[in-house]
Amino acid sequence: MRRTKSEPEPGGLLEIGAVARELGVAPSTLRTWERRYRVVVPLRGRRGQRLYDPEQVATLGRVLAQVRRGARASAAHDLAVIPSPVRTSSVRLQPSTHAPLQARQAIDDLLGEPDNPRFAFYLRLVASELVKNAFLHGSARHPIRMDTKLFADAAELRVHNGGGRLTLRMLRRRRREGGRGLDIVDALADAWSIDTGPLGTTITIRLPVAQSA
Amino acid sequence: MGRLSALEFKLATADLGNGVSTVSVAGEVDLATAPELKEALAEVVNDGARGVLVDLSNATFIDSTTLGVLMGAVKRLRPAGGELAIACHDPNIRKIFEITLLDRVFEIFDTPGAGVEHLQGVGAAAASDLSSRG
Repeated sequence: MRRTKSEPEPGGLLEIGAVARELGVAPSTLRTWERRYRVVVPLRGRRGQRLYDPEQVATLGRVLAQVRRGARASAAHDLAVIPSPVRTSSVRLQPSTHAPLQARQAIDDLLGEPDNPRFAFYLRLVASELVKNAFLHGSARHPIRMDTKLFADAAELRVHNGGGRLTLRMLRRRRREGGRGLDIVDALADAWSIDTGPLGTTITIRLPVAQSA
Repeated sequence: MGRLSALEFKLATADLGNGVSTVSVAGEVDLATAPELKEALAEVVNDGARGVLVDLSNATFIDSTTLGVLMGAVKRLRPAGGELAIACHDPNIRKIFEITLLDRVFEIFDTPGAGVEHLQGVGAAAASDLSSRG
């Protein structure tokens, strides 16, 4: 049976038409990115057709997301050549006054030798403040969990503590009493959320690299 | 930046005379170490300092707990006409003061020398104020 041009190739490889449709761009855009910026260099089939593996499609998706947010296509090259596009870490910290320091050390371990020291400083600061908050408001019997995801353009930090429901009223009261930790987090993060219930509280924030420019 | 920085937390105080003292901080100040800073500040204020310079030139990290400790010292100093100033050249640490608007509460100097010079005037004024009241 003859395959149509954009059907999946064996091994999960996709031809350019299928990739373009999946991403919602013209095939010529993918060819231009390849030619000008070497963003993704696909394999070639027997007929010379471009064949993209799933990882390359995912990379193109991330590049496209950047471009749609306003990044120049030329910057897409830098994004795509990052060897590991996402790094993650997950640590459990015993609730104590030393938990914020351990949170900062976990960030140090994740970042290694940071190429953006200011971003590293802010990420350490935000991690420290969120973990401090988890220690002060959370259960003394349950460990604090901190999950960090590092993207090319941002970091996502999620801190969970056990214990009772944490209300916004409690946070505001602490602010009135001079607590400035959440002011700092609020100023540095471009998005954050609180998910709280009878079993614990999770605060998630997104820290953009652009904040550290 | 690294594991040693927090372990290297150090405090040193110095009485410069004329009602001015310095509290110098090295390393990382956070929930675990800020109580030591609080104690050092209480000590210099109790000993009669009216101008206190907190020298953060060698500090590598501060957090909101640190800010709370500094604000506590300001509240003790101001009724007596005293002042707390900061020496800090690290733009990241200065940014924390800006975010929280505390750069409007503290005078922040790039160098300890500039801070001390400023406080020498404050200390002298406070001392003369107290003696004229007495």
